[in-house]
Amino acid sequence: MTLLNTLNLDSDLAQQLELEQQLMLGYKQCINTTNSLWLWQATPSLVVSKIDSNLKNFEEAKLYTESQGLPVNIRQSGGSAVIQNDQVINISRIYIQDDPITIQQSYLNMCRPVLDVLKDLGIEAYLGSVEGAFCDGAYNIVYQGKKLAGTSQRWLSVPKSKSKIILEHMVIVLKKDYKLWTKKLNDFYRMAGSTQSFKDSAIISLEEIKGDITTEDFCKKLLTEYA
Amino acid sequence: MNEFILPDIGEGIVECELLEWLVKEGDVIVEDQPVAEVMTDKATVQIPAMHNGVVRKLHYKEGDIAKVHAPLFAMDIDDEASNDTSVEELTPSLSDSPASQMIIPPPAPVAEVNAEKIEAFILPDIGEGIVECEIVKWCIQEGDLVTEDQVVVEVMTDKAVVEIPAKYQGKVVKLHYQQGDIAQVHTPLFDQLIQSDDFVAPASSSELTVSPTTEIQAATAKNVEESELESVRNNRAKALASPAVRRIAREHQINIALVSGSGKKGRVLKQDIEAHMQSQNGIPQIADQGTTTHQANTTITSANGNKLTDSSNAGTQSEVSKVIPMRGIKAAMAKQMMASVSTIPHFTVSDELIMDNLIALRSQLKPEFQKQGVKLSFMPFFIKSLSLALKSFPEINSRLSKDESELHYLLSHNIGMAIDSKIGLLVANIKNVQNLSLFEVAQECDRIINAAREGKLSNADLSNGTISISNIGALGGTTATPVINKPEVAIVALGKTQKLPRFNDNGEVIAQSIMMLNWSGDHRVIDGATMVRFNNLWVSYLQHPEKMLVHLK
Repeated sequence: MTLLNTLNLDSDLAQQLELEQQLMLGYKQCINTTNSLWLWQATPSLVVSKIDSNLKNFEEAKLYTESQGLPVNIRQSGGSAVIQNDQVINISRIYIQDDPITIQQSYLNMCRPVLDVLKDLGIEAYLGSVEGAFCDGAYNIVYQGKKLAGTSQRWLSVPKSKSKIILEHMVIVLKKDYKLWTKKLNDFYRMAGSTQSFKDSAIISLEEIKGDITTEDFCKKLLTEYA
Repeated sequence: MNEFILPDIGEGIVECELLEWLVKEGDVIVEDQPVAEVMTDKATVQIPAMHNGVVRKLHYKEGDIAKVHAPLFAMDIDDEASNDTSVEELTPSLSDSPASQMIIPPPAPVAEVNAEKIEAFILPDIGEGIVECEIVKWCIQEGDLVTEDQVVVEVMTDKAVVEIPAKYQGKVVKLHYQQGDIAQVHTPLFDQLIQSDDFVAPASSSELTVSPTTEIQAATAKNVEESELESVRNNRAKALASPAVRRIAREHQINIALVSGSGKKGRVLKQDIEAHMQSQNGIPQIADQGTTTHQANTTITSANGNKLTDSSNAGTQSEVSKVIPMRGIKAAMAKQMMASVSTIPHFTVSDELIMDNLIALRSQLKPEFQKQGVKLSFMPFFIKSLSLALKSFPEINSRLSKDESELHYLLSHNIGMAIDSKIGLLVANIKNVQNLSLFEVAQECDRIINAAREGKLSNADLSNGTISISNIGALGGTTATPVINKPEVAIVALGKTQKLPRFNDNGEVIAQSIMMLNWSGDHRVIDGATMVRFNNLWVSYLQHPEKMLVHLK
């Protein structure tokens, strides 16, 4: 596993998404052969999925959100909109999978190291969905019924091959103030003509669970676990 | 026109959202070109085309929910591609995307029908001594077109769920069993309509130990003559071989065209590659590569069967609140445990283990292991010390012959761990512990536990154990009378570590970390005194782990 810019804590979201895209295409064109993993944070912005970009009033909602100081970018992986800022940490992992694997197994592979790190910190988290949480799915990392981290994936096929190129992505909530951004998410969806709405009470942050660990220390533990 | 059927894209997923069409009606597309992007479970997946051709109709709009196993789009396949009778076509090089294997052809003209035959797929041997297995899940249904090596069914034996891949490309016309049924080895599993061209190029027998034998309708089948094949082969300079064999050749950088094939019609088999390597370089045989070959892959999954076949011992209706069929791992456990307690005279020995020194040593070593990415639990110490003790007591690592006339001492210390997995009790073992360092044992423990969590334990992990450890303490248990994992002759259950008051040599009460050890032995093989002496030696290693250094090589 190649660790790229392992702790990129002040990056532009568009650059991060471009990096993911380029790495995946690199695998497809056989330019890359080693797996990649990196942790990153982006300056405040909103990242939406392709589904969101199909919403009736997406362009209006995008303009509105950007007028509020949040650039909007479209990502390749699934799920729904997520606020990016320094109150979350992202893990991106791209690898080529030669043997058959299911989407579910891939989620488990991505989540297990994080669950192990949390366990070492005395945090008994588990996987599941959380009603009312942003970008909800069956493979959230959940603590006491609240969402601590969300996950998504993108799969590409390799021509003339059984292999798959898999992007696994996770966003972990670090700071309790992240909840305050839920309103921005709800505003975006309302403007876009969607009935989706999220609750800040469905989220929990690492800070609330274990306030004595710094982002840097937590990231180092994650990298050690994934390495 | 041909319909492209949206394939299975995930376990249990029956529909997905069509995110984006990457082609439009009228577009000329080529094999492997992504045609659509769909999303399920927050994963976006590109669906590639299988053939060259022209897209005629897109059945969904972007944003629609597309049904798995329903047509996604219609296309005309290039004549050249569909009529190509080259060797490459006879032995298709498959893309793994299920989507690429899902073209349903239109009703064939009579002449083409005459070139097909129905072939019964015979359930092959799938494990030592296994004569029947349970149909866990059909991955295809009647009417589906499957390709060579495509997984058609998952069957469960006593130990694991095994994926059975198709041997030929062709349409499935009949499934002989329903999910939950018990299928007999060497009997027909399903019938498949096979193009005769495909039939003359069967999959390598080394990849699946089955040879379909029941030809139901072969009279009108068109046969490709040997000479024609030779001609094609010579013209194309291509070897006849399955994709799996081609991959093995590629992995070993062998030009498959230079390998002489021993299979039917000169087909190159896996053993031909091995022989070629040996003749060229004296390289030893290719090791089995688990999931990287197309041998029946072994995975552990939950069984879905729900057919109740025998309720003769069940209570009356008024006494029973719920009836649950004994299936899969549970059924295997019932069978294995019954065989053990009904044939092995068990006896139990218990003892206390003072853990304090071991706890200190583990704390000391843990960071070193962590630096190398390995978690150090107590289990590797138990396993390694057990192996050292077995060297002095080889009868504890033995097997009794079936007629009880011989005791076979085993060279390998394959030490099993009973794992409370999501699907039930599994005993996976670490092979040849006598040759492994503590670090290597810890690595293997990690691997096995992770594999169990993922449901990816291999049949090898579950086979050929020689002695077992059950860590009931991990779940809070203190004492137990474990049941021997037949044909092994001993098993130990480890209780939880408790801080308990004990007297020291001076008669003072001190707090000690105590674990209960609970042995069950096969009294036909082991007497009580031997078991106690063996346990004493093991305990001495664990209570004074530095003693192990004397014997470590």
